[in-house]
Parts: sequence; structure tokens; C-alpha cells
Amino acid sequence: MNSAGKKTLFYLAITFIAFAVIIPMMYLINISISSAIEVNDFPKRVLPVLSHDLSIEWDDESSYYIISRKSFSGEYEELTYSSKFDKIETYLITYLNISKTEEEIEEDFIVARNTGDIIYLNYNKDIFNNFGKFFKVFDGASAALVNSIQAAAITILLSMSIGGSIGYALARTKIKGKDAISLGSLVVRMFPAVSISVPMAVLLVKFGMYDTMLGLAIIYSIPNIGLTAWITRSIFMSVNPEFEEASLVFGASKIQTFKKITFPLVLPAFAASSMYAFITAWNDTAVSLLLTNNNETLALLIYKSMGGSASIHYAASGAILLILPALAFTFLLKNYINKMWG
Amino acid sequence: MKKILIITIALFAVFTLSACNNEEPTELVIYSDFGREVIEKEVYQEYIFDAFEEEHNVTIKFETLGQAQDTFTKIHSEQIAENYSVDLVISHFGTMSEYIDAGYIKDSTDLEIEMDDRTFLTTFDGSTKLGEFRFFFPINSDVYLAYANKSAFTSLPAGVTEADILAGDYTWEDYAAWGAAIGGNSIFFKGLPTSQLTYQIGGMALSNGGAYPIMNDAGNLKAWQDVILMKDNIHPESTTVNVSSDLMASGSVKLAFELMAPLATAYIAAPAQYEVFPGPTGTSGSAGSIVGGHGIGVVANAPNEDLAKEFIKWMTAPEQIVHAALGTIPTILEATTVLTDDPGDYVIKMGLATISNANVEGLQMIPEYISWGDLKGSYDRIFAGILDGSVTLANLQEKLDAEQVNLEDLKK
Amino acid sequence: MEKNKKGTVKSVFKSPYMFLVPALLFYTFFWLLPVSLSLIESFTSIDGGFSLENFKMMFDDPLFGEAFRNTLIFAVISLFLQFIFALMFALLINRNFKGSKWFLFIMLIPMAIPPSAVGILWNTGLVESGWINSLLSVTGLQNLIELLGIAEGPIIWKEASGLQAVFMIILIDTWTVLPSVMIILLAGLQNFNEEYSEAARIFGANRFQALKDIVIPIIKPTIITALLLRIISGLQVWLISVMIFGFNNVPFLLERIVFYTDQVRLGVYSYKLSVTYSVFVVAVVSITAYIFIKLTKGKDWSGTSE
Repeated sequence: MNSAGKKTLFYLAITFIAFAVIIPMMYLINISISSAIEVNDFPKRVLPVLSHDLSIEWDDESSYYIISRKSFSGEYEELTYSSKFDKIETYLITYLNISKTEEEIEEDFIVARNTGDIIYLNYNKDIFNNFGKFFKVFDGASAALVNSIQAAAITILLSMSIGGSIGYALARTKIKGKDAISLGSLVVRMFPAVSISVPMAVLLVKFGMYDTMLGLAIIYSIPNIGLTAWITRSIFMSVNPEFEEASLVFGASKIQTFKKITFPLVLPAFAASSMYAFITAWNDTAVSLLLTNNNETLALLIYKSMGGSASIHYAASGAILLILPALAFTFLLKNYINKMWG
Repeated sequence: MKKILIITIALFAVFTLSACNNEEPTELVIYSDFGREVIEKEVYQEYIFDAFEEEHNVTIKFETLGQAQDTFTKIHSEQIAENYSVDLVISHFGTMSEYIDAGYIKDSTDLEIEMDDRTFLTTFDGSTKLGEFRFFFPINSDVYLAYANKSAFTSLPAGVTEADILAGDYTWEDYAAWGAAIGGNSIFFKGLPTSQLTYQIGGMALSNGGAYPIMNDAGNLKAWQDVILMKDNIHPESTTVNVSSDLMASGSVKLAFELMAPLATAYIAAPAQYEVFPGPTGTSGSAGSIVGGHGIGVVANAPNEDLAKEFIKWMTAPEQIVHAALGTIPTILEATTVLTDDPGDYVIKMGLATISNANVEGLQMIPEYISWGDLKGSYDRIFAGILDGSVTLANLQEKLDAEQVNLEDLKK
Repeated sequence: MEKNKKGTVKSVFKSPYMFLVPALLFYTFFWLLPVSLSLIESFTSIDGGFSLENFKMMFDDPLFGEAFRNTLIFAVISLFLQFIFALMFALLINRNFKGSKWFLFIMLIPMAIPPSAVGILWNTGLVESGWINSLLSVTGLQNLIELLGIAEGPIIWKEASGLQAVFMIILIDTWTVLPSVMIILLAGLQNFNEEYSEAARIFGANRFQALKDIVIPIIKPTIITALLLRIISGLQVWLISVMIFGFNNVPFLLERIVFYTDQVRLGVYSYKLSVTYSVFVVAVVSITAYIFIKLTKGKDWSGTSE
């Protein structure tokens, strides 16, 4: 194969893979800002649609306005009819995500009645409408958001304190059985969380921790402690103990040494492992499904939002809210990616 | 990079701490068999809860569970454990007697006397009252109607006109022939397992003068034969969704026999695109429908009893009950006499007409069976058999007889 | 601890082993205890004695066989598919090019999407009027499909059942995971000097041999742990199946556990069943991990040598 052909093939492959990732995401984003009417359009559009093209016609015989919307094929399809502007206002926001006051609508529509012509309007969509509705409509969505953050925070605390001390012990002390500990940390990571959750439910009820974020965080910490130990161990090893010794020699106290020398050096490792902990907690559905009753996490709420009718656009906007933090943290973590699975 | 991390972590900590210190206002807890769909919860929040929450400074927790039986189990376990958290129950007519018999719902006869500005329809007294005493207040009643995409009227079968259809002057055979004339997967059928299939078949059987729930009488046999007639035109996604709204709105199906609530969801969104009309008639010459509906009652030992009563007053007032009925028939006289020509009201009028003209039967037999879910299973198996071809006109009677034996075993 | 010859309380607290005490306590209470409890529970009959009746009950579950088969098929095929395609793509784009940073960013997106959002994403695609059929329709591929007689009219994806449905779930999983497998392989390949393979080819090895004898061994340490974790998480599939096809339709082992815990309320029986399934899943995971480690003969799988 000549080099030009190779290059073409190369760029074709790149483009193909990139599109395979981007296109589904584009559709999801578009659905998340879709109105109730749009969400059933076929074919769906890949680029975000920010406005609706409407046509308004005055029907003299029945004395009402006929409201139509321009479809994908370019034709106008009749949607509804009404003569009351308050009803039209409600209709526009409920089914088309168009936020217009009664007066604005009257001002625009009256032209059709006065002239007897069909008038064409382009109304912008309120693109945040679905996100607001998501919190309003899904009972406990805001509580679920707080729960998810809480669970993640406790997971981070547990993993950092317990995992960090293992990491330190592995890197800096001469304990026996280091290999066994490393192996153990892999074994606990391999263990299916769902399998632990089933018997754990009974234990958590006994400990009074069922349906609490602490209970969830404990399960999330099981794999993450091992992971944190692994990451912090390599960092503690890379911090040269001589720095710390030098600092002590020059009269700094142990606390000062830790604050000024050790802490800044190991911070990135702790930050990285806390992001893993965050992602584990944030992404989980199965464990919270089995171990909570009323206190749902956001991911669980999104899972449960499936299967309803006429509400997939709200579920999609919830999914976008769920994706954003996870995406941000994953991107910050990209250097550690190969440790992330499991 | 490092700064970003520190800030993120700090924000995180602040957020978590602040989240822990939330003071909770009074919570009015409602468990409901009605309003399961998100879009329905939205209506409840907007037209009923918001104003009440503001006026009484409470938050309303509105919970729905998978099956009517689950709601009963929830209340039952609270009452047994004497650990009361639920204030109000919105129950299906079919399960009300269980609550009343067990003493889980407070007698609210005095509340009805207090609400002298409204008249509850007496049609549902059999479920909602025990003798003279009022336990549940009916909030809605739901029957099956038919609706079709306007484009479906361009392919009507021979011998049937658009006027016939809109007047309800057509049979289940016509309905099946219409689906075939449109072609493709044009018909929605309530085929989701352990869901509403039993009620659609029940309605079809009632139109044939059959009984419900019975698998193998003449009326039911005819109903299943009609299902076999339309099987090639039933949309395969019918077995994955509860209601026809989305499939109808996207144009995937053109024709459906559907409960008023989901029918209204699709119809009100774009009334210019559909026609709503009475369900097909059967061998009895009338249409048929199972009648469902729901009522609200105060749970015995409710933590916020007075507030719960206030809520019933609010919810069953004529202005609110039309929203509470979610597109189905609101069950007070004051609401049914002021209907307009709005798309929503049009569906309600059509429903009222069906109640008075069709063979209808209330759904009050649930407590007679050990497991209503298993009863639904009998219908599910026949339907799955028809779709995969293992149940045919030739062996239908035999299969129905076999399932009838299963049904008898489920009787208490 | 016996090393502390002075044996005073203080020296015990100063011992480096103290760093391990919190972890020891944590895993005793929250790992060992539930794991042994479930083990005991699974071998105990309802009335308390030792028995195998729970396992019999599990084997009698009409969907057990299918769930087990689907789980194994999913884990093995998705691993192979993801690895082979990721390796192909990684070898193809193993160089710096304009916009490579952006490309890597895009590749990170799928793995960042929480599973329940993945469920929503693909569910909006797989309904008849969803985005997959939209894409086929606007690109004209729909016409091609109809021309070739593959389907008449739009494809109804949710009609899939049995193995067809399992393969659909594998494809969705591959979409989620493939980009990140590729990134890991790329990271491994960057440590690998292009000259090695040039040299190999000069000495007569063909591309495949170069790949097999040189490339793979060099990137092996990077990927072994990753693949092990991958196959294990493959054995834990359930969410996508439930979100797209619902319970019972495309059963997996974990789907059974969730089904019996969350959906069915048979009281003590469903608890016994889910515990037994849990123990069974643990056994399957352990055996798979053991076989995997034996097959790869790696000594570096525990992550200690990196």
C-alpha cells in the first residue's frame, strides 16, 4: 500500500471511531432538550434543534387558531386548535418547551385573525426546560443528587484513610507479607459488589445502616481501598525519604515536615484516588438498588426513570446531568485510566 | 491542575456538610396506585401539590409502586409493625375492600358531610363505602376507548365508513380488518406481561357478552379469535411498553384500544392528528370495557391526619379533581356537568358515553384471587402463544380450557 | 507482632503493622463477615440444617441455564471482541497526528458514562422511532437494508431475543468499553520502539509474526491486569439487559440476583435464592480468574511489579 493510501485509511479509521462515539452522544443531547412533541419525531435530528417553526391559521368557521409545526420533511403538521390564549400558553410550554406569555402570543397570533392569512413564526425553545422539569417531576431528584454526593464523599474519606495507610505501610515500612497484601487488594477488587450486597443488606439492617449513604459508601470502599493503597504506595515510594530527613535535620518539626514536604508531594495521588472513589460511588446502580429503600442515588433514580411513557426526554436530561460530573472526573484522571476497571 | 483538585475537594466537603444539616419540614406521605407515569406526576405536582404545599408549608411525598397489591403490602406491614409513616392512600377500586376489611383506612363519613359543595358519583359506592360509612372518595374512573391516527382513515376496510367508526358502529372483525388494511405493525395491543392485557381481553369478552375473569366461555373464545385475526398487524413493541402513547405519537402504530389516561396523553399533545371514538362492538352488539378507577382515603393512625383531610378537601374540589383524574372521568357531579369542547374534555365525554352505552364491568374481583399477578400470567401465556404461532384457531379452545383450570386454582 | 521483643503497649502502637489495623477491621466486618454469612446461608435450609436444597432451587429456576449461558457468552465474546478491535485500532493510530489530543478526549467519553445513562442512551436508540433507525434512514442505509431484503420497513430492535439480544448487549458494551481498551493498548505501544518491529520484518518475520512475537509480549504487562478486571466485570453484566429488555427476557446471573431481591417478594425463598446466586457468581468469578491467570502464566498480574 502506498503512503497516501495508508494515510487515507488512517484518517478514515480515526473519523469512523470518533463518529461512532460522538453521534450517539449528539442524539442523546438533542433528546435531552427535546419537547414532548419532538421526542416522537422520526427521523430524529442529530444536531441540536433550538427552535420550532410554527404556522398559525385562523379558522373562521370554528373560530379558533390552528397551530401547526414544521416537520422534518418540511411540511407543516397540524397539532392543536384553541381560541384561548392562556390555554395556548400552557400548550406551548408543556408540549413544545416554548416559554411565551399570553400577551406575546396574542400579539403574534392576532395577525393571522386580522389578515386571514397563515402566518409563520419561529419560536425559540427554552433549552433548560427539561432539566428544571427533571427535578420537579422526578420525586426526590434533588435529594438523590445530594445523596450521590454524600455517598461519594464518605467513600473518599474511607478509601483515603484506610487505603492511604496501607499504601504508606507498603512503601515505607518493612512489614512482612507485602505480596499477600497486594494480592488481597486485587482479590477484593474482583469480588462482585452485588454478591456482597445481598448478605450485606441483613448486616446493615442490624448495624442500623440500611438505607443510609454510609452503608453504600462501605460497599463502594471495598474495591477502592485496595486501589488507593496501590496508587499511594507508588507515590510514597517515589517521594525520597531523604527530603524529609533533611527537613528534620534543619530543625523543622515532624508536622511541619509533613505539611511542607510530604503532603504537597503526595497530594496528586490522593486526588487521583479520590476521583476513582467518586466515580465508583457516582456510577453505581446495582448496590444502591439493593441497599436503599427511600434514599435513592441519582444513578438509581435515572435507572428507575426508564420504561415510563411520554417521559424519555426528561430521563435523557437527567442522564446528561449524571454524565457531566463523571466525564469531568474521568478526564482529569486520564493518566491512570488502565487502573480504572473492575 | 493541582488547584482545581483542591477547590473541587473543598467544594465537595462544604456541600456534603451542608447537606447533612437540612431541617425537614412536615411531610405528607401519599402512596398511590394512580399517577405512575412521570408525565402524570408532573400534572399532580403542578396542579395539585404546588399550591397545597405552599399554603400549608408541607412537602408532599408521592410514591407509586409497581402493582396495586404492593401498595396494600406496604400499608399492611406498617399497620402490623405499628410504625406509621403513610398518611393517605390512593387505591384502585379493585383493592379497596382489602383495606376497608382490614381496618387500615379511617372512616371519613363526617368529612363527606363537611364537603357539602360536591356530590360524589354513586356508581362506585360498592367499592368506596361500607354500608353507610365512607372510607374512600372516588377521584377518577377509567374506561377503554379507541383512537387512531388520522392517516388511518385513508385505508378503511370495505363496508366501513369513517362516520361508522366515529359513531362506534363497527365490530372487532372490522377493527382487525382495518389494521390489516393499513398494513405493517399498525395495531397496538396491551401485551406487556403482568400488566393490562387481561383488561383489554376482558373488555373484548364483555362486548361479546362474555364474563370476566374467565378464560374459556363463548365471549372470551371469540375475543381471542379476534386477537388471532389481528396478530400479524400487532406492533412487536406492544409487549415492551405499558401504554400506547409513545408508539402512537411517533406514528409507529396507527390504531389502539386504550385506557382514557394514556389515550389522553397522546391526544391532548396533538389533537389535530388523532380521532377518538368508542371501542368496537362484539357479538352482543355493544362495545365492552372493564371499568377501573381510584379513590383516596386517610390511613388509620396517619401521622398527619388533619392535614390529610385538608388534602382530600383540596384534591376533590371541582377545580382540582379534573386534573387529578388525569384525563379520565372525574367522579364528582360538579365536574362532569361543566365539560367544554377542549380536547381533554372531549375524551371525558366519550368516556361517560361508554359507561352508559357499553357492557361495562367494574374491577372488584381482585381480592377473590390468591395472586392477581398469576391470573394475569394465564392471559400472558395465551397471548405469547398466539404471537409465536403455537396457539392457533384449531387448538385455542383446548389451551383456554387448560388456563381456566389454573385460574380456578387461584381462587381463595 | 511477635517481633516487638519489648512487648510494651507503646511499642505495639508504634509497630508498622498498626497501619494495617483499620483495613483489617474494615475487611473483617464488611467483607469477610458478609461473604462467610452468605456462604453459610447458601448451604442452610429454611429450617436451619445443612442442605443443598438452595442450590437445587437455583438449578430448578427455569431461567438459570439461560442466565448462566448468557453470562459466559457475554464475558468471553465481549472480551475477545473488545481486545481484538481495540488492538487493530490501536496499531492503526499508533502515532502522533493533528488533533490527537481531541481524539483521545472523545475516546474517554463512553467510559465516563454511568451505566444507567448508557441504558437511557441506547434505549432512545433501539425503539422503532429511535435514533438508530433515524440514522439508517437519513444516511440512506435503510434503503440498502430493504434492497438487500434484510428487513422490510424499519428494524424493530427490541424484537430481538435469545442470543441475538445477547449480541446486541455485547455490542453496546463494546461501544462503552472499546475506546478505553484502545487507550490502554496505545499507552503500552508507546513504550515500544518501532525499530523492533522493523528489525523483525527485515529478518523475515511477517506482520502477524511481528505482532505475535514482539508487540504482544511487550505490551502484555500493561494489559494483563486490565483484561482480568475486564472479564470479571463482564461476568457482572445485568443493567443494560434490564434497561433495554426488562427482567426475565434476556437473563444473566446478576440479573437473577437483582430480580429475586428487588422484583420478587417471596419472602425467605427469594432471599435464599439471591444469596445462592451470589455464592454461585463468586465461584464463577474465582474460577474464571484462576483460569485466566493460568492461561496468561503472568507473574505480574497482581500489580506489584509495575
